[in-house]
Amino acid sequence: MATTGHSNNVINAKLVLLGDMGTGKSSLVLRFVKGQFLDFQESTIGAAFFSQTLALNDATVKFEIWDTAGQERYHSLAPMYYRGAAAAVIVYDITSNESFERAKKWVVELQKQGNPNMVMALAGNKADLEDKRKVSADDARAYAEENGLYFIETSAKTAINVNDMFYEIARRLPRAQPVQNPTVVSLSDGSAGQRSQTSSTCCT
Amino acid sequence: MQEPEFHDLSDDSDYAAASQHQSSKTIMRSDSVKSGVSEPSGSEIVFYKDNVTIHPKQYTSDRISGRLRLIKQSSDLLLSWVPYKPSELGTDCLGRSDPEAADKDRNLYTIKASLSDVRSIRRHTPPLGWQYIIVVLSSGLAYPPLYFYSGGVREFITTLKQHVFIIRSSEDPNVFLVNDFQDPLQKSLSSLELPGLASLKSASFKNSTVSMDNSDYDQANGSVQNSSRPSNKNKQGDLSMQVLEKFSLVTRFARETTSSLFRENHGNQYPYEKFLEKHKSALNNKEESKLELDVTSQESSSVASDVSEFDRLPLVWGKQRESPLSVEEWTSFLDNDGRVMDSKALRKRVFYGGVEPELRKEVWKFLLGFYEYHSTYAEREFLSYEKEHEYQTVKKQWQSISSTQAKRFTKYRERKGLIDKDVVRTDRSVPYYEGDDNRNVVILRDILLTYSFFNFDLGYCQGMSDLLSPILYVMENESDAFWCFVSLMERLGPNFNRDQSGMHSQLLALSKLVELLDGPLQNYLKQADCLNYFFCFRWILIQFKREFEFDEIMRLWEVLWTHYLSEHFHLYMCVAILKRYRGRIIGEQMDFDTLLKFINELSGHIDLEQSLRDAEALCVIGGENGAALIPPGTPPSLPIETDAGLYVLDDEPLPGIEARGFIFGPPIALALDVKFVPLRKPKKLPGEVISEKYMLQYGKDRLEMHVGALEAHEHVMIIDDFVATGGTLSAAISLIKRAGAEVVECACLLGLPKFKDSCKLNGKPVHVLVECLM
Ligand SMILES: Nc1nc2c(ncn2[C@@H]2O[C@H](COP(=O)(O)OP(=O)(O)OP(=O)(O)O)[C@@H](O)[C@H]2O)c(=O)[nH]1
Ligand SMILES: [Mg+2]
Repeated sequence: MATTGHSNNVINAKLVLLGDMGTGKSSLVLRFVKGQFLDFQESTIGAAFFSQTLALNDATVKFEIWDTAGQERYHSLAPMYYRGAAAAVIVYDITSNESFERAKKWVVELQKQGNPNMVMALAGNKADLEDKRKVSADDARAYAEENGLYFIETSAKTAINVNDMFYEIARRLPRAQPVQNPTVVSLSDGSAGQRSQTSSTCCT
Repeated sequence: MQEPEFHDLSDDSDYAAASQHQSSKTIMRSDSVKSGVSEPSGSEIVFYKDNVTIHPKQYTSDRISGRLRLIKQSSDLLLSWVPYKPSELGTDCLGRSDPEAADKDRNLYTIKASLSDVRSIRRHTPPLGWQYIIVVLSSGLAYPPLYFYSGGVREFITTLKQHVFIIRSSEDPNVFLVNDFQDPLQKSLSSLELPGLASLKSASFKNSTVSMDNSDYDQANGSVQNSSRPSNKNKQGDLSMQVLEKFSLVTRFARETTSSLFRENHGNQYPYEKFLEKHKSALNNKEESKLELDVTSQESSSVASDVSEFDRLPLVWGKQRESPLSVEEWTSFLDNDGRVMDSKALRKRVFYGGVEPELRKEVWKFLLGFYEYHSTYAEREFLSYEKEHEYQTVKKQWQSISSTQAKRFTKYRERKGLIDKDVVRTDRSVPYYEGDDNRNVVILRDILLTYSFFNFDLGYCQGMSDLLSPILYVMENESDAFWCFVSLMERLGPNFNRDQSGMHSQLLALSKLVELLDGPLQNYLKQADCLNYFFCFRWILIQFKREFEFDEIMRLWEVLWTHYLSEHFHLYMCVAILKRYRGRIIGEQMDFDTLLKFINELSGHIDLEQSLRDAEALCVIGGENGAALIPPGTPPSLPIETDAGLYVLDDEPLPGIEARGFIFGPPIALALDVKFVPLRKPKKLPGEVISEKYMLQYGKDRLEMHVGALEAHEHVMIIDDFVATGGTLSAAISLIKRAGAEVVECACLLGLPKFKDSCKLNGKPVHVLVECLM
């Protein structure tokens, strides 16, 4: 569903958040969409839907975000949400090894079932809880590289890297039309983008 | 002739109930009535007509005749219609002999209204049949049609004109607007004739405070669209007319409900259920409902058919909600030993009003089935005591797990992890669970963990903490809360089936109900590809827990748990809410994503009491036809199997057929972490076997299985490599059946084309991965 708009290069992209329960999927969306964080964010029942538009230099990306329920029990519903997704953020909690294992399972499933051009990001969330860290950033990065994922550690609580992650995903989305201005120099939110969007491993 | 007029007000609330915030007074209010005064001096009768009659019921020839009068009283003009006393006619007006019931009826139907409370009057003067009028109050409700058996409608209107300001509606010459107002916007809104708008109008007249919220407006849209048929889409007049008629019906419905209730109490002549049935049959007959009202074309038809037409219109409102069950009332339901004497009456009472908060602790235990209705005080005390003990025993099972043991007990750690994560984010804004180190959060955790040992197969599922939290809040006792939760989960457990079967069956039933109760909405959802009704998932999974405030959810749940009108009242709630917002859903052309977002965001904005009333009306309308759409065993009905497992277990064994089934079976079994059961050729298995003979193209053969390899009621899938004729598979199915287990489906790697695309063998689906041509 990475449908590409024609005029002004508007890209409508369906993005799905997957990951173990309590890893912070809803918190990441809430931070991204509303700039908020709740200490007692309720668990997600079924799914929730949000949309958020990002302006890049070469395109406007309108994310249609599906936030899913994390418990294994509701696994059978997941395909309904990732079907047709242009991007997926697989979230784990850096303080939990199990959540990292679960993230790997999601990666495998998406590689098997999902859209082959899907932009996949691996997000190690709760990066603010450094003293409780169980999953090292190096391990996760190595795993991500092996599997062609974009890796980033985030904190929905402190907002670190949350917007950057979504911007990076937006940049990696395939453009249907040849991009007029291929190098993205600055981002509309002001955060510096050191990477050029053409270097991504998974979108082409 | 001027006998005192007693009005029975038990009916009044139903009758004139516009909306909760409606503050306009109608004359049928208790103040003017309780005193039972005859007409005060200084009043003058300016018009009267005998043999003005209402037809209280469809399909029966019941008629109530009476006298219609216009009474001038200082600056006010009153409309009054009083049924004749039995003595005046020699017989009871309903042809019944019970004078007391007849009196009740008389009082029930008596009309007395000030013209200042009348919005409009619609007249029907068909060339054939009787003339009648429908009086619509500014509250939006209407009186039943008044038939002028001896004519006189014109005279009536003429007299009216002399005393109050009335004008003809520009849209319909047969509608006379009383107290017409100037604002063209309000005027056009008023053509919708709906409660929220009605109160807006009365507000503009009486300076009473009225709020019009969006939901009312949505409902307005909803009902109007609902009643409009393609053929008269463009006829504005027809549209509002239909709504007018509809409200007349609603009023009638309300009256009949109460009047039937009366009869139920007075000699059981017309039981409530019987009355409901009547409505159901008429309203559900799809054929008939196509004949929806078209008054213009019916002007010439006879009155009788006209009347039955009214009843085919969809109702919008249910019975007025009652006040919650009070402590005194509750004790009146109990005998000396504490038994609930009439559990059905109790459930009904709670269904219509809920219970006072301080009673919840006790009443919920009955509603949930933890206490039996016929138990005595002493028995209950003993039960609680025993169950407390039992609870502690189960709780010890996990409490006694040492930390070293826990290290090697992944399943326990996982479970505890899930629960720990959820309890800290369950209702933390409710004072009872607020703050750091809250004791009640710990109790919530303990109960859930204990439950996951008590029902190890089901374990813990997200959503359970939401279901438990209000129960613990009400019970304020760990063991009682646990057992109430256990009872609740007996019904709602299937909501958490891994394969989502419990949820699917409810969503499917919901879709059927919407089809029955709101065809156009169903069509819209179909066309928008939303027919899976997934947007209602959260509503159903946790019984609307996330949609209402904490105190409202307790009210809703106690109503749902009565199972009074239906075990599936929650599905009618879904329909009611969807119907309320159908105007926006269809109008804004919502697709699945938008709809899900919209529904999620309704949270906190749904009017509970209104939805309950809508749902009640829908449930009545749906009636047996509605009930028939919900298959037996659909949660929260108790599962149909008697002693089979409640849930499709995660670890059902996997039988495979020799020889190449052994290549595929064991790896699958390993991956699923379940037991593999070999079905072997004769004389291969060492132990005691049961066997099944079967025919092959090249002779006879036999399959054998160890006795006890499968247990009765296990649900299994058979694995084999290849299916050609299906002979071996069929034998395997029979063999397993004879062992008492049930085959759910079969899976093969290869198969002849006929097995591709969900073919069935002995009624069991066969899945084939690769189709092969031979
Ligand atoms: N310290 C910290 N806590 C976080 C962070 N993100 C989320 N949380 C907390 O973790 C808990 C779970 O967060 P959610 O966003 O609900 O997690 P989820 O993945 O959506 O969970 P499910 O909906 O159950 O699948 C909440 O109590 C959050 O407040 C973070 O970056 N840092
Ligand atoms: Mg969530």
